[in-house]
Amino acid sequence: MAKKILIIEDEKILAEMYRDKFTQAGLKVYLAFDSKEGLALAKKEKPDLIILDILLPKENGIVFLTWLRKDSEISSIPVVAFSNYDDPATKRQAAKLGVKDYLIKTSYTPQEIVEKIREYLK
Amino acid sequence: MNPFAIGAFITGTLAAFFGVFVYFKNRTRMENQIFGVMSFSLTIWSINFGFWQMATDKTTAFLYVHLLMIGAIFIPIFYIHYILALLNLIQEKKKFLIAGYLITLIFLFFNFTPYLVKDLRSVLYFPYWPEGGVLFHFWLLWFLIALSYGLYILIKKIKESRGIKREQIKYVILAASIAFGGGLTIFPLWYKIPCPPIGIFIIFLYPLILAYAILRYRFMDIRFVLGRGAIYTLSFITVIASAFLLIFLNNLLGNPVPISIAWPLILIISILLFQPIFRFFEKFASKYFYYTFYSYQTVLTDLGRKLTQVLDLDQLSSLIVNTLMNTMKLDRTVVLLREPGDGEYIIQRNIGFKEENGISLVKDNFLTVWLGRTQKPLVYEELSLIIRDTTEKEEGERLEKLQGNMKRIEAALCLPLFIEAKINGMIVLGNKLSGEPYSTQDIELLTNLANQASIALQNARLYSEVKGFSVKLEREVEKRTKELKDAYEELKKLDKAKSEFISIASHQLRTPLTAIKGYISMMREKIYGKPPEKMEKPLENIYLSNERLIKLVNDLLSVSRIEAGRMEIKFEKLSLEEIITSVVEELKNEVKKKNIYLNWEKPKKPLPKISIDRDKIRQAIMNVIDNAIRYTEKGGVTINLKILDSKFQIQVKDTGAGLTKYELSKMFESFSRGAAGTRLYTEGVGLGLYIARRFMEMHDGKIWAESKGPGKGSTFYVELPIK
Repeated sequence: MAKKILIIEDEKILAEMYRDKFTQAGLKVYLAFDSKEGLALAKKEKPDLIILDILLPKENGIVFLTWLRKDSEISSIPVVAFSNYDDPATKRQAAKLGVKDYLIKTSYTPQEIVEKIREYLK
Repeated sequence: MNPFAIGAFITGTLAAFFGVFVYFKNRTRMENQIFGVMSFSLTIWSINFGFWQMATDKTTAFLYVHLLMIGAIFIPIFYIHYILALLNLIQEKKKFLIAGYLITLIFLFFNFTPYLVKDLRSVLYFPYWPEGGVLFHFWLLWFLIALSYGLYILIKKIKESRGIKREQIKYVILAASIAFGGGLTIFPLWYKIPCPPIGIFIIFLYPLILAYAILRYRFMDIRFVLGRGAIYTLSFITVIASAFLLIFLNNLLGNPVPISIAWPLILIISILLFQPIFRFFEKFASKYFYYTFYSYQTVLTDLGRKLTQVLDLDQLSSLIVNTLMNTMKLDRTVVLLREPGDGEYIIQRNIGFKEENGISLVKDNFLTVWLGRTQKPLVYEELSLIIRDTTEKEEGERLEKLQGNMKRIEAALCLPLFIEAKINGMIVLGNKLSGEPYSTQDIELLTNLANQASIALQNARLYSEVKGFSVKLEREVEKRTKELKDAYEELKKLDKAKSEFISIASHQLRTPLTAIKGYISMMREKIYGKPPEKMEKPLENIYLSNERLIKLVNDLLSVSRIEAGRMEIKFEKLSLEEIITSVVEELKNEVKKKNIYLNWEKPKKPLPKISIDRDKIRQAIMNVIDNAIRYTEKGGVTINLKILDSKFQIQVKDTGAGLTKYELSKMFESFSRGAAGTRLYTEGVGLGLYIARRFMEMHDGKIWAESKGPGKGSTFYVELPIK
């Protein structure tokens, strides 16, 4: 059975690009464009991994992480922060909230991301 | 020689001396002229009195009596004339004066006739005492009338006058009382009344006191003269009384000591006794007469010393004014000072004067001009004399105006304050509460004090100017510091804004870059179908260009963080070898494209791990190797790693463009590029090596380059301590 990946990303172009790549790589992809939507989808689908952008409209990725960690139903889902916002303080906050990694988008090709995801899902 | 002869000679000598002295002091003044002739008549009387006392036969004695009478006859009229001159009453009492001279001439005419002096006879212990004729009674009457009349005018005038004139009159009354009081003791013997003419011994005080009155009346403290005069009188009386007591005792015991021995003996004893007796009285009197005088001098001298110790202008002025007021017992005092740079006069300290009055003195600048010219204190009482002696009409008028002004505001003395012979202020004193005038000692002390005060006030002013300047300077510094601080805050804000801008801009730039990178790489992975072969190369170029842009954005972000001090470092134990390998791996494509070599000479034995921040060291090494590749068109780049002096050293050696000395010194600074950069690689902004340097510094490492010159290639060294 294909692994479920939830991508929370407000940039539609990027979200669709990653969806195409991940789907092609054999993953089941869900897209959410903000934190609330992401949370609802996470609860509904119980994905195996969440790819989380940090700079999101209204509530940002950090807020999403606190919601997620409070909700016992979904709190154990691994999360990978995936953002171009390269701020040390934010990185520390994210690490505290238990993200598996904090990846800078421009540093990786979609193929490289797929490889990383495969590693996390092992 | 008997003591009366001695007394008479002393009086005569003194009278002559003072007469001549006063006369020559100011020959043009009537007071002085008349004083001269009056003293001359007194001298004639006393000298002949002395010779008469020494006469051994009747004829000689009679001659001297006639001669002394010439002097005596003139004394009353000269005395009256002198008083009238002193009081400026000559015009008013002209008729009386003329009548007096006529009377005098009449008596003179009868002098050598028996009508005035009938005969000589033995009275008391005088063998040849004269016996008065018919006219003698009239002459004595005239003498008494003249004396009384003189005293009468003097006493009447003393009530009307004040200041100096008053003092002058006091002296004259004193002198007249002493002299004529003494002179009167001569007359009882004419009527066979046995009263010794002891007054002869104090008559000499008459010219003495009058001389003082004329020459120094203003400058002699009345207490001083009175005290001194009183002591002399007392001493004389004591000595003479003792002498007579001894003679009386000798007589009573039937002359055990012959008279010829007794007289000289008594004279010697008297002379020897005079000094101790005088000292005794002086000591006795000094408690009252001198104590105040000396202490007052001391106080003013002390003030002079204190003046040099005070630097505050207000404090100094108060010290001067208060000390003068309290010591000299004045009714008012003001210190006026000129503003620096020949400015206006201002009242520095004032007690008693009305503010506008104090200033009114200097408003008419005649006073300052006058003081500047004379360089002497101006005494109000002196002004009428100055006006009288002034020949210039205009000046006289101005002096009169000044006199009126001083009188109106009740100023008695103006002390100029000089700095470098230029008047820069004055102390104006009111009258003494006692009504006494300023004495010579006062004026001398005040002049000295004014000199010291001038210097002290000038110092104080300089000090206050310096102090004011330093306060101003301090304020200026404070102001500038605040401006700098504000500017710094502003800069800090701008700097923060810049960092934020770069951070946000970078983030905004990264999103489209990510999309380009993602789609191109997916296209090259043939996810969207196999692209035509012709497109492979352009796709690769787009990809590499995009990578370059991504790197640029990363550099900008790094620099902005470094400069904002917000770069954080995270140490891990890592293998430097592995990092270099991954960098070389990443740059392989680039090298292949340029057709140059990239030799990574790995160490033969694996080296220990090292505590470093992976991303930063990787970025630094990447930047150095990337830089070498970029500037190398032929040959290639060789990398090696070794341990040298307990440090890791990475060498990146190229066969490229080489570097000038200037480039070597500048290339690790922000936003600078080697000259070759413009030639060979126009996209770089020179951030790479700067970032590498800063990252190395964060690791306590070093980065530098060596080159034999342009075209001769370069070697970059990166050194990291083993930690």
